Amino acid sequence: MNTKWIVVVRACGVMALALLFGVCTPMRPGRAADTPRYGGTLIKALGANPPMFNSAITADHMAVSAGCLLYNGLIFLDREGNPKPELAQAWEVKRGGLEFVFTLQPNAKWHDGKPFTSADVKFTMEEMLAKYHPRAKAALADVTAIETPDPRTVIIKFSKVFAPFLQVMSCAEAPILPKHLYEGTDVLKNPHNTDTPVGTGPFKLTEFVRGDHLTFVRNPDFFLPGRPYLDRLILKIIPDASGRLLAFEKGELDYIETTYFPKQEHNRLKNKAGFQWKLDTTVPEENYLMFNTERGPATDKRVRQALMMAIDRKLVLERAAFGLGGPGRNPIDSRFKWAFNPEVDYDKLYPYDPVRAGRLLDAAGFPKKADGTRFSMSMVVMSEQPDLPASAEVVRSNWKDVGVDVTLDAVERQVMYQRVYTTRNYDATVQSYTSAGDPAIGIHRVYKTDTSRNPWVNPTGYSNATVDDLLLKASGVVDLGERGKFYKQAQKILAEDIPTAVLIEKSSVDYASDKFAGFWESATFFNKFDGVWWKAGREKP
Amino acid sequence: MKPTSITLSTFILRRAAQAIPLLLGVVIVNFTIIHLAPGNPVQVLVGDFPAPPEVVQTLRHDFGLDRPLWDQLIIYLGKLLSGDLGYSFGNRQAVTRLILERLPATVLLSGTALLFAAVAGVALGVLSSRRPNSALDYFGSVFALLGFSMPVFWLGQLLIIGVSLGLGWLPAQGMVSLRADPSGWGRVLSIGQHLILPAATLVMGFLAMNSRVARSSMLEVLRQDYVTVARAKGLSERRVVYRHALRNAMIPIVTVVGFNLGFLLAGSAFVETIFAWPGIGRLLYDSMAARDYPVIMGIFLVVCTGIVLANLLTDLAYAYLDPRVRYD
Repeated sequence: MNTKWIVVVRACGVMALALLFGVCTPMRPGRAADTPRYGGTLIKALGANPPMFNSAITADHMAVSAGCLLYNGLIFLDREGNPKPELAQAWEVKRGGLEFVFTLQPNAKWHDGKPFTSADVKFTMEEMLAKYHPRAKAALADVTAIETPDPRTVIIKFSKVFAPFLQVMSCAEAPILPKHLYEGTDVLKNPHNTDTPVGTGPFKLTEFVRGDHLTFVRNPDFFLPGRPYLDRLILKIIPDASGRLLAFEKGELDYIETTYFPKQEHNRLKNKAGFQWKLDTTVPEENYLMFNTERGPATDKRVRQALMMAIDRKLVLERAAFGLGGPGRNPIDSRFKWAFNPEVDYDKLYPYDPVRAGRLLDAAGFPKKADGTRFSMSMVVMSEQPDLPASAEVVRSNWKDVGVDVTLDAVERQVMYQRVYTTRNYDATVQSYTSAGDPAIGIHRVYKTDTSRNPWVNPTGYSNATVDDLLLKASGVVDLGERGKFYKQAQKILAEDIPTAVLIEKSSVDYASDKFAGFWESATFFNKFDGVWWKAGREKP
Repeated sequence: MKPTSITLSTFILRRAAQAIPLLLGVVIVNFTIIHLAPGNPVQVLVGDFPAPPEVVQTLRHDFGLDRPLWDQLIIYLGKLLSGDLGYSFGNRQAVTRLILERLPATVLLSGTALLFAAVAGVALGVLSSRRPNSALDYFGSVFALLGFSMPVFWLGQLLIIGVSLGLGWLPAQGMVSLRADPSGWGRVLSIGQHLILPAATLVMGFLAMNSRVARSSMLEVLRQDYVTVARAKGLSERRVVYRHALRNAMIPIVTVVGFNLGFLLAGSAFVETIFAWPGIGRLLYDSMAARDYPVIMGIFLVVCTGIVLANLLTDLAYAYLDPRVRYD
């Protein structure tokens, strides 16, 4: 074989491998994965103004998106959701999860040049996170002491174990703020929340044009050597979903995270030149079907079971998530492999079977009337998130086939809060929940007894002391195997009682310009932009 | 009778006095309707997760939302008397500052659209009226039909897809290029480029309306005896139309242009959202979603004041154009 043929065969081999790799992995990687370069401006979409930057006192999505460029958590979550060092260089878990000892980064500084110390961690936890943060407050509820024996050591002691404590310590949940700028002030009204944020993060805020954009510039004193690589990162505020996508296609945006990406466009764009994309860029999220168990026919468990059997969950996945993800398999998202019980299977318990569903409804005392219907139900969904009305439309159509007449109300978010959570003036609803990376953080609230009527807490009225006890135990041990046992027991009860069902397990998808590399180091799309770099950049900062 | 400065100032003062109860009524009605709408601004602030009740209570107390509604209204009216439009829950900023920050962008967009709709609309209407049932007149009719029929959100999307994404001629979103970050004349040019598509979207309906009103008004005036006399005197057609007829045809046109102003501000909320234009229309849209009551009420008040002023200017323009119109 002559040299020319060898070159051709090698080229074909490389192409075949590249093709195979491209087909087999849910990602089209950027052009080069070599040494990061410096410079450039990345423009990222944001849906609205951040109400503030201090994400230690709010869980607002915009605040966290901007805040995680400015601040750091003690850890960040890697692609598999494992805690990795950020402001904490290392940590040790003692007394079976009752004590955490963090060793802090030696070179971290605040943007104003003051040194970052353990006092900042203690202050933020005690005065902000434990008092005001909607999620971290629960994680810190059983803290008995936060000790700072030296500027680089923080010891956190608990009276009870909270298993996913480390997961909560990422920037998205628990950013660390500067004590020297907040001590002695009202932390809710401190001007550094809104006007002059000071963090330890990879970028500093230089401009905030409300309603238009926020400009962040590189922090040259960032504690991770060599990082960040970008000179500027701009958050461009575009409220309209189609406007964001058009701006991205036009090259006016370089990155759209899954929250802002219309999933129906994935098939059109996934092979288009100039873009890279990645699936499952954030922690598991689900669409749940929820019944109001306090009124109407759905108070009867047999009716809920029959209605579940009448739903084609694969069709819901197709219509609402455009095939991105999978149908719900049981009450816990199957991506939590350690917690998922494969023996509890919706496909076996409630296979899509309208005829059998009809018979079950007959047996439950709801035969078809002369007009062909059995009973009517109201279904309330939030209109702003298109996959929710789309899911509800499939459910309505499926239930109509078995004689259940559904009035579907797609209403704006605030009205949905009132109808579903505050007044419980609904019969069924489809809701989207994030797991927040751990069932104890994001999924317990779906099933646990709760009478607060707060948004995003079990609106079904379902209350089962055994389930509550199992969930409590599952969050009280560190070992995943032990935790999983409790969840597996809970799944059996929840699948049978079925106050709430996982309709679909959604896959997220982020899109980015292929002029940049280094995305998706973290399990959440909020942070680790310090690793993103521009391929046409310079070699040195 | 020609208006004198005394009658003019008396007229303005009288109209200002009449506007006060009107604006007060607008404030009270807006306040009541907004607060009766379902929703809770505190929930937006704490984000999509169950917030501890004490956090919610602290925020409600801080923003005065735990007081009775009538109490909140009296406090708000008291603040208005001292020129304070309140404090934005969502933006943590004084409402006056927020509106003043965003108003120039809206004035630029709406002003451009209003000016273009007035000038081009009148020109198209006059040209159509000079040759009724001509090709130009039919074009004007079809254009007006399309202009009225197309919703701004649809037209805006079409223009972005066609002109921006397809042809690549103009930017799709925002007010200035962020990547180039230009300054001086480069910035002016960049703003001009970004302005074209949203202004074209906003202008379409008004241009159509103005051209139709101008056409029918001109047709009516051109049939008047004094126009026939002017022509009989041997004046050029150009002089007859533009010096004699147009001025008298302007009264209904001025009415429509004044009427446009109020709707321009409402329409700009959609256009600013589609094109990510950072004006008060966008601010209103965002504030509605966030139930940021003080901002919503502040913008409504500014818009209502603008409409009252536009009506006043329209009345003054009547008197200028037609000396028979008296201020009393």
